[in-house]
Amino acid sequence: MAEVEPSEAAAGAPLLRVRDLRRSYGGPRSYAVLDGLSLDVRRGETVGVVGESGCGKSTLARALVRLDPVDHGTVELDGVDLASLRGAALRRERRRFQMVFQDPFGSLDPRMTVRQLVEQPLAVHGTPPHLRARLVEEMLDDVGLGGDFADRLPPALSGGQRQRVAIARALVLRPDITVLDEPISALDVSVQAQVLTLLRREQRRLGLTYLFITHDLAAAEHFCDRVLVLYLGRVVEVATSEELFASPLHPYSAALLSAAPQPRGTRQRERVLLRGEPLARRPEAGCPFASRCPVGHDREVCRTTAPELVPASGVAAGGGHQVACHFPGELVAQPVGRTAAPTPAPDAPAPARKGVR
Amino acid sequence: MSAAPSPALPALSVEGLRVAYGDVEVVRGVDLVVRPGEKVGVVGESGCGKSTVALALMGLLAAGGSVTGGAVTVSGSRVDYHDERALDRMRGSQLSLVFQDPLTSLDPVKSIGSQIAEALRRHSPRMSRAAVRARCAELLTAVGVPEPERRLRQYPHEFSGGMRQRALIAVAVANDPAVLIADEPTTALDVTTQAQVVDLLDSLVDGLGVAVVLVTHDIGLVSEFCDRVLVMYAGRVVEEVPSDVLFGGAAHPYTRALLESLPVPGRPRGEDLAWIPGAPPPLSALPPGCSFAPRCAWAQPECSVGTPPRVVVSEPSVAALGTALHTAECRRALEVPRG
Repeated sequence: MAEVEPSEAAAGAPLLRVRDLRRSYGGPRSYAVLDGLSLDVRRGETVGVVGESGCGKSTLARALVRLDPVDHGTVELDGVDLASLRGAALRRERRRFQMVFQDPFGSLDPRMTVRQLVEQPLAVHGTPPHLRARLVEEMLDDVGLGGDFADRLPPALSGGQRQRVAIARALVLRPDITVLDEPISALDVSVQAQVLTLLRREQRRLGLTYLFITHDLAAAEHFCDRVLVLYLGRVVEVATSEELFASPLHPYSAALLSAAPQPRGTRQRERVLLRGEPLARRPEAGCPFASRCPVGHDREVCRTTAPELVPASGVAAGGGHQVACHFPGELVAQPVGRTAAPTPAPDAPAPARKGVR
Repeated sequence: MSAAPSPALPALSVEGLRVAYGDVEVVRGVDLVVRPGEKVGVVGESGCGKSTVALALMGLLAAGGSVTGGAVTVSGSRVDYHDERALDRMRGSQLSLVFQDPLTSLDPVKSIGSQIAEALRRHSPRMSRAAVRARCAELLTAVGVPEPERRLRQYPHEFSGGMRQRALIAVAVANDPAVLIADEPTTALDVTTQAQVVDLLDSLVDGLGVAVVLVTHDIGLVSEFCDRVLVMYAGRVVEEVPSDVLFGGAAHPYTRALLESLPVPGRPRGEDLAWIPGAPPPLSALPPGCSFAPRCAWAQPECSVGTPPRVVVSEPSVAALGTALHTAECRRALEVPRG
């Protein structure tokens, strides 16, 4: 698998450097949920990982923070290979990488007060007691849970408040990198905005680095500097948010972006409907997306040869835009209006469906 | 806009629906009119009562819940929620419901075919076996399941999430209902699968003329799919607005605040999103006056007194008769800048 954009000379060594990460489940007939995944995250950056269920994004999160072992590959944080750490050495490093989970209900001990919950990670990692109180109060104020909130128990909090506690628990350690695994998808819309804004403000204040795992493309576009698109355990495209959302080169990215519901009047491209059903596993050979691909389903090379992740050529080159496709940029979602049917008269027969599968 | 012309008889008409669990009223007077072939969205955040409306209309409220007021008319006939036999006849043949999770809505030990057949036989007991089998295959084809003959013999676990939702929709439309109520039908699905299911619902409206009530938290989805959107807050419809004018034309401060909190395409990256301070009030202890007033940037002292009036924001023009009225339940609906 190709290396991720080697722009290290320009921006200094990446903070997080993942190379050829592999993670398999299941015994003798095991399947690699992550298949040789590489990525870089620079200090202060927010990198998004988007994809649908089964693409391996949560497996990636768990492997990165060593909740699960890594079968193969390296995960280097500032030059230290986390994948090879064990025991006390791993525990010492843990304060440098933290994680916020999707479910704010399942990730907090219901018998601890908010203050105790936020203090706990400091105690675990050996911050002296006289320093803890100030750090905790400061953090709680930042996430808007100061004052009498600090003495409440999680069951007395709303979903958004719980997620703020979970964020405070992670950030109070000033981690080098924070993995945010679907941190807003269990929350109501109006609360999602609050949590994203809070995360960004803390990022500016503390110089944090985020890996943001999500299936919510609008949130990724809004929140991330760069975005990786994952499909069945492989990176199919990497680009800056601006570039990916303006001109996706991989047919899967194009379909994914076009499929997201958009308010009336703001849709710029017609939806691309994919062929058939999603696969649960990568096929033995060829591009993992080939069977559903509007561009490659009937092309020999797509069925036989897996495309490498390589820098994009042409207009998109130079910005670190990479794509794993034999025919990048060939699928361009039609601008809205070009194919729109005229409004039928009320008694007219049903119009032919757009995007016949 | 594909709004149907306004015939004399709405497919579904709900007036002043009230639902209570014990002493707590969770739906507090909801009006809803759905014309044949129309797509109406009901949106709101968790706890606003949108799913309760769906369940109440089907007569499927959980134990302890009851309809305490209002009138529901389906295709011109009044529904009596105390008459279980009449409800049985209505469910599936006049009103159908599709739930969020297709795996728990389908029986895991029965084949897909037998579940569709069961729905057919319930309302047409004298249908011949051959006719049932043919109709089942026809329905699966209509919902976009390939190889229907083979798929009918399969069980739910052999279907993917999207295909299960299609099968469930086939069950729901088996008896040509006037209205299909879809409660978060795509929330459990991936976005590319969601697009396929939404497209299917669209084709059913065009092909069968069924009206769809889409209940969801996803404003982007309703505004794209539906002709008209009802926004719920604390058990009431606070705004009813044609989808075309939802973005940019919303009048209720709650709707506006919800829209501003969305990361929509085109909004500059890095710009902070707005959010609504506080949390929705518990339904057991609503504030006096407008329920949204304590969180509202536009609230004035009089907002906390009495019921807020329903203000007509814009009347449909004569040419567009049959399209939706735009109303908002807010004293200041006409003063608040649209957004």
